Amino acid sequence: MFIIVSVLVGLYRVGAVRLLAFDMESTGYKVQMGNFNFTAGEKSSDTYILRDTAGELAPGQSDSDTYTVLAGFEYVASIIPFSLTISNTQVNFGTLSAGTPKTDTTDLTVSSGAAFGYKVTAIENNQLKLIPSVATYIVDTVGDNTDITPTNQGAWALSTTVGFGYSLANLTGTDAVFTSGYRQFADDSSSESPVNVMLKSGVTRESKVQVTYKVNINATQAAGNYENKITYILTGTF
Amino acid sequence: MKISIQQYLALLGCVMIWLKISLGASATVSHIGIYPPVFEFSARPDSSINQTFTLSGVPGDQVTITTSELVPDGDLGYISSQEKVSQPEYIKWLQLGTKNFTFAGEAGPDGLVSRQVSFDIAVPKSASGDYYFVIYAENQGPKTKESIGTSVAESAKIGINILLTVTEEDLRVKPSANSVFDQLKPIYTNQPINFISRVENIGSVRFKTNGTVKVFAPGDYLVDESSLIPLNVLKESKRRLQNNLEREGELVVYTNIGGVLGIVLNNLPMVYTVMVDVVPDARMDVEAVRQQARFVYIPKTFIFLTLCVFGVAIFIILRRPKGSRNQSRETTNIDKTL
Repeated sequence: MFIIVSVLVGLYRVGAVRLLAFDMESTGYKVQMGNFNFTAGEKSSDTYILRDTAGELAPGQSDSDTYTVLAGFEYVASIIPFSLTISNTQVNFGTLSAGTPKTDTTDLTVSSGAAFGYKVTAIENNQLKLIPSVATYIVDTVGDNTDITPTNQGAWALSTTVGFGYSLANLTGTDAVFTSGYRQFADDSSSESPVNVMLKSGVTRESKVQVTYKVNINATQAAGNYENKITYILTGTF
Repeated sequence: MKISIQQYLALLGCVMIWLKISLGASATVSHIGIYPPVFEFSARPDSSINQTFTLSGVPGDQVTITTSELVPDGDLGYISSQEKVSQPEYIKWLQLGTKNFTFAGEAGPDGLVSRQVSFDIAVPKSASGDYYFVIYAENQGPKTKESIGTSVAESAKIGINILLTVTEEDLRVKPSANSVFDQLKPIYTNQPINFISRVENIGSVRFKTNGTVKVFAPGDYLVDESSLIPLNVLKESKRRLQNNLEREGELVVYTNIGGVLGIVLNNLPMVYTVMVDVVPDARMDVEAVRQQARFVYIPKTFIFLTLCVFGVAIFIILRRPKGSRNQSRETTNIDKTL
C-alpha cells in the first residue's frame, strides 16, 4: 500500500518538477553568465575608469587624472586568445588549362573569447589580374546558373563555367556562413564591402573552416601570371 | 671514421629536406592575435589617453596598423569591417605609436612572438558624447617570392574595438534610478520560444543593458528569473537581447521583463526606447500550442486533489480487516446458495 501511495505522489512530483524545469539559457548566455558577477567590472579614480575582466591574460588597470579605460571582453573568462590563423599565405594554382578547373584549400582558425561573438569577413583586392597588365582578369565566376554573387552561393560543376570563386566547409564548429555551392569574393576595387565567411554568437576556443578556391578558364583567356590578394578580417563584438 | 661520398650526399640531402620543411612551415602560416580586443574609455574634454595593446604573430611577418571609424553592423553587436575612404575628423585624435613593423625575436612554444604597440587619443576641449574607433592590424606575411602561374595571396587582419565617451560629468557609470521598461507579456507555449527584446539607444552616449527577465506560470507562480546581460548599446543603434525559453508541458507562461534597463552616465541626456517582440516562427508556434492547450489543460490543484482522493481510497480499501472482507464474501456465497 505504501508503495502505491509513494508511486502516486512520485508521479505528481515528476509533473511538478517538469513544471519548474525552465531553462532560459541560450548558448551565448551560458557563457556570459558563467563569469557574470565574477570580478568583471570597473575600477575608478577621480578622473578615469578602467573596466576589465578577471581571468583574462593580463587584465589591466590604467589610472589617469582625466580618463578611465575598461579593457577586454567583459563578463567572459577570456583566457582564450583573440586570434586568426590562416594555414597558408599563398595559394598557387600553377599553370591553368582551358576547361580544366583547379582547386586548392586553406584553413581559417579562429579563437575568440568575445562573449557575444565574432565574425570573419573576406574581400579581394581585385579579380585575378594578369601581371603586368592594366585590365586583363580571370573574372569572378557567376556559376552554372548565373546566380553566384558575393552574398549568394550557387552551383559550379560544369567544366565550361569559368572564373574564380570559393566554397566553405566546417572542420571544427559550425561557423561557416554557407557550406554548399560557391560564391564570389567581394571586390574591393569595385567598392564592395567585405562579406562574412565565419560567424558565431558566442565564445569559441577553436573554430576552423576550410576555404576551397576554384579557378577555371576558357581558351580565350590571355596567357600569363594572374594574381590577387584575399584579406580575412576578424572582429569581435562590442 | 670515413664517410663515403654517397653517405655524405645522403646526409646533406636529409639536412636540406629538414631545412626546407622547417622553414617552409613557419613561412606558410599567417597568424595575428591581439590583446585586449576591446577598450572602453570615459574621458573628460581636453584630456589625453595613452594605452598599449599587444599583437602576436610569426617572426618575420610584417604588420600594418590602421585606424577606422567603428560602425555597428546589425543589432547583435557586430561591427562593419568596411574601412571607409573618407573617415570622420575625430579619427585623427587617435595616433598610433607605430604603423608598420616586423615581428622579431625568439618564438615561444607556439611559434609566436608578441609586440606591444602604443596609441594616444587626444580628446579636444570641444568634444562631447561618444566616439567609436577600430584599430586594424594586418599581417602582410613574409616577403613572398614571385610565383609562376595563377596565385592568390592571403592575409589575416584583426580589429580592436575602442569606445570613447567624453563627458564633464562623473566618470563612473551608475545604474539609472528609473525603470524604463516593465511589461507583462503572456505567452502560450509548450514549445521553445525565442524571446527577443531589442533596445534602441536614441541618445548620444552608449549605455549597458541591465535588468531582469521573469517568467511566471499560471497563478502568478514565478518559475524563473534571470538577469539581463550587460550589453553595450551604442548611440543611435539597436541591440538585441535574446532568451531561448525551453519549456515542455507548460501551458501558459507569463513573461515579465522589467527592472532597470539602462546604465547611463550620470545626468547625461539620454533617451531610449525598448521594443519586445517574438520572432515570427515562435509566434506561429504560440498560436498552434494555444489550440492544443484547450484540450489538455488541467489545473495543478485538480490533479493533486484527484491523486490524493485516489490514494486515500486505495489506502482505505487495503486497510480494511481481512475478516470483514472474508465475511462479506461468505455472505454473498450464502445468498447465492440460497
